[in-house]
Amino acid sequence: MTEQGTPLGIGIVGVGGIALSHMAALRSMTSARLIAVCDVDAARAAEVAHVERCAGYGSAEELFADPAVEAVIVCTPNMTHEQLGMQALAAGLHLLMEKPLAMTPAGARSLAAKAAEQGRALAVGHSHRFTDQSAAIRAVIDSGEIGTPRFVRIAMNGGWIWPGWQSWVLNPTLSGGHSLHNGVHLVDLASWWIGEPATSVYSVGQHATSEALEISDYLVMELGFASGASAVCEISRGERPRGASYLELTVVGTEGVISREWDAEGVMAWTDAGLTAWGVDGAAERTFVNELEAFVAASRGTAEVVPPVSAAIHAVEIAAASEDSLRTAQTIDIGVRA
Amino acid sequence: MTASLVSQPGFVRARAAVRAAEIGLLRAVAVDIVASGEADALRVLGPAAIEIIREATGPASIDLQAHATADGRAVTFLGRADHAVAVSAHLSALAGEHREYLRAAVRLVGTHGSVLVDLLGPMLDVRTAAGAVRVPFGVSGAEGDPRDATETLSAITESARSGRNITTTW
Repeated sequence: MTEQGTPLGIGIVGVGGIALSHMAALRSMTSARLIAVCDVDAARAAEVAHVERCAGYGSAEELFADPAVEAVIVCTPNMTHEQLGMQALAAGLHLLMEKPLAMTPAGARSLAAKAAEQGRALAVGHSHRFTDQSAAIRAVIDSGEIGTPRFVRIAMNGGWIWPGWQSWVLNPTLSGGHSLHNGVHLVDLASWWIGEPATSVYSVGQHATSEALEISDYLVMELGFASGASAVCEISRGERPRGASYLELTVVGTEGVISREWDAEGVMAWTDAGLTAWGVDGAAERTFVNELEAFVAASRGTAEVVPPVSAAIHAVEIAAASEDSLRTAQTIDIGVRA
Repeated sequence: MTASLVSQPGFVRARAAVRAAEIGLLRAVAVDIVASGEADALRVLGPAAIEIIREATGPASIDLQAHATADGRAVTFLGRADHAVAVSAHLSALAGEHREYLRAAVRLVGTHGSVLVDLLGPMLDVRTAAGAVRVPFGVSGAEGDPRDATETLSAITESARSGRNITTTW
């Protein structure tokens, strides 16, 4: 279906916040072109379609049936991922699923099996793999400079709690909880940098913004690996002050340490809004371009899917186990311990 | 590596901030200590880490899960204290002859703010054509009476060995 040298025809299902990042990336790419968008809010789809100069549909079925659409990016809430993904793959489309791949490990494996059966690329939006900093860390690890990685600490803390009590993200039945909604990013990075899948998870969660929350907006996951390596993955949407965010990436190897901290862009600013670190070079925008270029290459069959679908399934397994750990206050084993 | 991390002036200031509720109520503590030299990370670096955590949280009962590499050079634990504070720590001993801290940091997260302390600071960065060195300066705070951490360290060892959660105190 896809011809080399012509832009890959892309459809976007769901035009909420994350879709805007994908659309911005597509505008700067020549290897892919936005053909159509759809949303359950047909008026919203029409509005976005007008701005993006593409087709707008009120249903996924209409978008999947558009003959110019060769691949889709699913940007809808988590509880819709499995069903929409199965539909897209059944329609013969390559699929970039926003994270998480599915709400359950079984659902994730079903999608992987369907993609294999259909011979279509299945990628998952673990976008943090595509940041400049993540790639640089992996390059240092691959160089052997710090020896064998045996510990990763990731902290991604901010105060931008999802607005509105009606938000599906705050409903664990619809989002799967914070482990699935955001935690999968950290699990993916930690496993990638350590170089093996995790075999256990123990999680501590807090309702930082309000005790009335049904999800842990502050979450710490400790991953164990068969080699004896470990990782601490900390993600928060309940920090104060709300405007400040904190990032920390640390990898400790047998012979050295890699660390990247909050002010690592090199620009600290203090204004009436407080002390903040400013980004400087469009790195966030580049992340989505990198991710989409990798997806286009996988769809064309010129490169492997990144991250491998096995890693995306693993992230769902760990995240689901993390939610179990939060409920039971116990360590949950995945696979066989060393 | 002989300097006490607990009496490091930045940590003394941060501990005062916790006690004065400048960051609200303490919610989480994260400690990383990486040094070169002796192989047994828990024995060499553990007492300092536990002392730092205990100074931050106060005496507490904690349910923790630990992991350790087979050679004992890397140990990690995450715990939930009885007053709901989340505590994580990593200790690494890298290969090398000299006993030297390569990284030592503590982050204290509160309900109304956070404090990050580089336990190796304050330092001057001195860069010349011959290379770069870091020169420490300042005066350490008063040393407290070091308290015994044997029970906690034993619990960490047992959790790492068994792969199970263990309750201990500090």
